[in-house]
Amino acid sequence: MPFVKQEDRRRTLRGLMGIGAAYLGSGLAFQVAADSGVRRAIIRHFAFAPDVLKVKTGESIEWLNADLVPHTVTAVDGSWDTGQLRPGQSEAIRYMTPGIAEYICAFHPHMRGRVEVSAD
Amino acid sequence: MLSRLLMAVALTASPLAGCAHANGDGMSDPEIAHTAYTAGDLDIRYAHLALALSDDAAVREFAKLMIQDHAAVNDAAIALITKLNVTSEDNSLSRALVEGAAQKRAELAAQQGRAFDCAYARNELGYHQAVNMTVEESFIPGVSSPELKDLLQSALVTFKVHEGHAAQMVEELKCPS
Repeated sequence: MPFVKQEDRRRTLRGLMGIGAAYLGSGLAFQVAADSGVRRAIIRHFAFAPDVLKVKTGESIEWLNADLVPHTVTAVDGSWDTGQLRPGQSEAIRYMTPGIAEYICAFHPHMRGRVEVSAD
Repeated sequence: MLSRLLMAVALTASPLAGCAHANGDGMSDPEIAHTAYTAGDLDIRYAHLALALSDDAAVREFAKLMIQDHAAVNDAAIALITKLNVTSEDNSLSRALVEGAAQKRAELAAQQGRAFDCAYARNELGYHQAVNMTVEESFIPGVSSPELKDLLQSALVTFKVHEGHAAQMVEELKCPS
């Protein structure tokens, strides 16, 4: 399963300007990424679109919740999680290790997808 | 369609079929908005009752999800009618829903343990079936505002997921028929 570092675009917008920082509360280190190397997916009508995403190591996926209700994007093996995404909110995950990870919405587990991370 | 609404009444004691507006005819956009909001709010109230009376993990998880999701849909509805500068309107159907739900809550509150869990689960399934049918076959065709129609269509997707979840809950509880 891929090892991931989670980045928080909300923190990005609060001005962490490309500087690495400790993620308070979890002990995980993360790096703020530039916009390049970011794939985007939409959550709408209880589905992820696209539901299968292929990225290279070091690249990120940003999910935007365009639905009326909160969702999450949660690895089935528990290795990564966007946390609750309220309507209109987005969160990005950066993937650092090749592998395949199935994911679901923790609130609505019938919503499923897969991330495939390939080496550079 | 009237016979299907009557079947929903048999399942849930819903007042939908007993109301002159049950088929959505003649309802204005403000009345439709208010009724849809009320239906969601009533399910939130059922969920709070479940959290007060049930110890079953699946029932409690479902109830929390109903509170979360219906509150979010209703927040979106409020935002939309505020944007459209519309005042939602109480009407005979919304009043009938409120009255029927009060009766149903009293019935549910008189039960406990597994009997409550099964009664709550069955009511959630029947309630969502009846509301979804009304939204899909009456409100959406009857609404005139494109934005309200879009909201109702998105809300219906949510409510149909809830209906499926409720059906699964009923099955997993293995309630006596």
